[in-house]
Amino acid sequence: MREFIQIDGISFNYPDLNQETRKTLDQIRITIAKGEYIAILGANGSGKSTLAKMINALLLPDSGAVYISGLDTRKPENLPSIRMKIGMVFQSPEEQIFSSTIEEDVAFGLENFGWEYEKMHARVKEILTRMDLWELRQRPSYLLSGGQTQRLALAGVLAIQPDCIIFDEATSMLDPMGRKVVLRQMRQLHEQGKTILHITHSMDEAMEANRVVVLQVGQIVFDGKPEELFSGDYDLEKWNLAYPADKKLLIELRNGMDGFPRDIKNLDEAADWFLKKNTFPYGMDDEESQADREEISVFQLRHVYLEGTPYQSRALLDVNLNVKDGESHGLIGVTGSGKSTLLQHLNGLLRPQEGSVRVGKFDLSDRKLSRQELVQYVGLVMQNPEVQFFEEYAGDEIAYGPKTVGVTEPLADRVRWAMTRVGLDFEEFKDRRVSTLSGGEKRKAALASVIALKPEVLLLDEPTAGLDPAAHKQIMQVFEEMQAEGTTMVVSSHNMQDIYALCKNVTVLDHGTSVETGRAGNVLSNQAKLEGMQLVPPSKLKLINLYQKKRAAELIRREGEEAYE
Amino acid sequence: MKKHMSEFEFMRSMPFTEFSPRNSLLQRIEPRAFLLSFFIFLISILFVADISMLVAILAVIIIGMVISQVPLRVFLRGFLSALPFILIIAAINIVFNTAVDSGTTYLKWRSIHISSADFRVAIILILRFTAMMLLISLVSSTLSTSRFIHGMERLFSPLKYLKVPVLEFIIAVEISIRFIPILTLTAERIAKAQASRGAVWGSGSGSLIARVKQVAPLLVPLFVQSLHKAEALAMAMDARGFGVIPDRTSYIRSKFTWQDGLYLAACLLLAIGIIGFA
Repeated sequence: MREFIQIDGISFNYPDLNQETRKTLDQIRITIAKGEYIAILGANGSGKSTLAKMINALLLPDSGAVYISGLDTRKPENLPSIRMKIGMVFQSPEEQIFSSTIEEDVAFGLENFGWEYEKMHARVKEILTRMDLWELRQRPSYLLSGGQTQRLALAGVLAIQPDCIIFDEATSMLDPMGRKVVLRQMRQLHEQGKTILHITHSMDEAMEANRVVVLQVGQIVFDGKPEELFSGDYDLEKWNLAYPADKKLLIELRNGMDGFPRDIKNLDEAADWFLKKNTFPYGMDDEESQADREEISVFQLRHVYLEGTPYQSRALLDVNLNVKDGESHGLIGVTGSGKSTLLQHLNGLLRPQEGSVRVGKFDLSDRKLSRQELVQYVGLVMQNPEVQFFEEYAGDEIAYGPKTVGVTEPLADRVRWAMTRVGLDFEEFKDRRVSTLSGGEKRKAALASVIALKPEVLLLDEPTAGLDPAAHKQIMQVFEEMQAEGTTMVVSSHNMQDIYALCKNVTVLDHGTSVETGRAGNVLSNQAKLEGMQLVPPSKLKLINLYQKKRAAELIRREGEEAYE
Repeated sequence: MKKHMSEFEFMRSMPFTEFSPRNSLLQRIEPRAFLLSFFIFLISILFVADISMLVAILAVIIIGMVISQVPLRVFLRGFLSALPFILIIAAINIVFNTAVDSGTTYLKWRSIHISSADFRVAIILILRFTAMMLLISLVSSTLSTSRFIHGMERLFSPLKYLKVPVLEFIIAVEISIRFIPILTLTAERIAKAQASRGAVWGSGSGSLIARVKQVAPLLVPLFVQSLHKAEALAMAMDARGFGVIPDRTSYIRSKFTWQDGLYLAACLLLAIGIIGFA
C-alpha cells in the first residue's frame, strides 16, 4: 500500500540551466499521508516551487517517480485523476483568473473535468456562497477588490474538491488581512481532512503547520515538527531561515542574560519569569527628536482616483502628516487605507486635488513645480521595485536617474557612490546582468537606483515585502544605517517589527484619514488597535505590555493582601 | 480652483465596456442570434449608400438603444470622443473628394471643386460612422463578454470539423480582454516608477526619437511582466485541468428558441428591405 503522496528519489533540472552547476531537485524522497498539514520552507531557488509542481504533474521528474494515491505522474492517462486530486493556489491571485465573470471562473475547472450542467451549477453556487461571492457572481472579475479577487482564486481551486491543496507562496503578496483569511481557510480545510502543503517564507505561518520540511539547494535538510526546527538547536541562518518573531526575542534574551531559562516557550512565560525575578531589561524610551525644522507637512489632503469613471475610488479623505528633518516616520494601516497614495503625493507623482503638501521648499500645489527637480530632493522606492528594471546591467539601471536629470559629476562616480551606500560592490556588480541578481541584491540595486539622485528625503513603500528572510535582513541593515546617518524617511509597511526598528514616530491611516500620530513605542503597543488592523505588534512591545500588566495586577494583589492583614 | 489632473491615470483611456445585467428584451436574445443580427446590420451599414436608407438603419438602431435600457451617456461618451475625427474626415472629403463632381457647384478654385455631391458624400460618411459607433456601443453594452464569447464559440464551432482549434482561439480572446485592465495598471505603475527616477512623462513634446527613447523604458518591463503573467496564467490553467480530457462541458447553456428565429428573420427582412429599396 502506497502513501497518499509518495516521492521516490526524484531529481530534476530545468533544461535551460547549466547541468554542471547543480540540480534544482536532487534525490528528493518523502512521503505525505492524507490529512497532513505541512509547511515547506527554504530560500528562493531552493526548489520548493519545483517540488510542488512535481506533485500535480505540472513538471515531471528527470529520474525517480512521484505517485499520487499510487498513480504514477509520468503516465499521461493518470493526468485527469491527479489534477482532480491535487489543487494548487499560486502567488498572485489576479493571475489565476481567466474568465470574464466570477461564476464562470469558478466553473472553469469543472468544465475542464466534464461536469454535468446541473451539478456544475449547484457546485458553483455552493462554493460562491461559502466564499461570500454569490451576490457578485455576474460581475466582471476586474471590478473586484483585492480581498475578493483572492477569495475567487481560492474558490476556483476548491470547486474541483481536491484532496490536497498546495499553496505556492499564496500569502506572500497579500496584506495581513488577506493572509489571515487564507490561513484560516487552510486550517478549516485541514480540519475537513484535506492535505495542506504550504510553501512560505514566513516563519510565523510555518508554526501553524504540523510538520515542516526545509529544502536547501534541491535537498531536504530538515523534516520534523515546527517546534523542533525553532528550538534553537539548528543553524537556521545556514538554511536562509529565521526565527518567528517572538522566538527570536526569547533567543536573544537567552543569549544576552544570565540565567534566562531555556525552557521558556512564549512571551507570557517570559513576563512571569521577569516578574518573579523582579527585574526587567527594557524601558520605554522617551528621548525627543532634536531637530525642529519641519521637512514634510501635509494638511487636509484629499484624493479621488479616476473621478467620473466606473473605477472611481476615494483614496484620501483627510490626511495630515508632519515629519521633521532627519526623522524616520512610519505609516501603518490596512490595504486601501491610503498609504501608497500619500507617499506618491510626497514626490509629485500625484498632486493635491484638495489640501496642501509641502516637502522642503517645494509646494506640491504649484503648477510650475518641476518634478525632475523634486525627485532629486525626495526619492520614492515603490513596492516590488525590481519588476520595473529595464536595463540589462545593474550599473546602467542605477545610472538611469542621474543620466536623465543630468548630474554634473561623472556618472560612474555617482553610480559607485550609490552602490557603495547600499552595500553592493561597484566593481563586482556594475556589469552583472540584472536577471542574475538574488532577491536581496535586486532590492538593493532598486534602492541604489533611487538614491543615485542623492535625495534628502527617502520614501519607502513596503520595502521588505516579498523578500526571503536572508534578503530581508540584508536590506533592513541598509535602511538602519541610512536612518542612523540622519536621512529623513517615510516608511509604509505591514511589518511592525520593521517599523519599530526603523521609525521614531508612526501615523495610522484608516479609510483615507490619518487617525493617530505618536511615538512608535506608544502607537505600536496598542495591541487591540493593531489587531483591529490585523497587524501584529513587535515582540518586544508585546513583552513590555505583558510585563506591565502582570506587574500592575501583582501590585494590586499585594496591596489587597496588606490591607487584609 | 481647477483640480490637478493626474497624468498617470492610464485607466481613464481604457476602452472598457459598460455592460451590466438589465433584463431588457435584447439581453434575452440567444447570443448567436444576437451576434448574427449585429453582423447583418453592420453589413447593411457598409453596403447602403443612400441617405434616407442610412437614416432608416439609424432609426432601427436608436429603437434598439431605447429597448436596451442602457443609459444614454454610455452611447454619448463613445460617440462624442470620435465625433471630431468623423467631422475632420467629412471635411477632408468635401474639399478633396475626387469622385465625380455633379450637382450644383459652390466653389471652384484650382483643383478644389466643391459641389452638392461632395456634401452628399460627407453626410453619408457621417451617418455611416455614427450608425457604426452606436451599433458597436449597443452590442458591447448589451452582450456580456461571456455571452459574446459563448456566442462566438457556438457560431464558429462547425469549424472544429476543419481542425480549427475554436476553443483555444476563443479562450485566447477571452484572456486578452481580461488582461487589458491588468496591463493598463502595470503600465501605470511602471510609468510612475520611471517618473520618480527623473523621467519626464506625459509632456508629449520632443522629437520622435526623443519620444521613442521615453517609451522604451516602459515597454521593456511591460513586455517582461506580460510574459511572466502569461506563464503564471498558463500554469494556473494547467493546474485546474485545462485540456486533460477531450469532452469539456460548458457552464453556459443557450437554447435557440423560435422567438430567436423570429427575431433573426425580422432583422434579415428589415436589412434586405432597406438594401433592396436603396
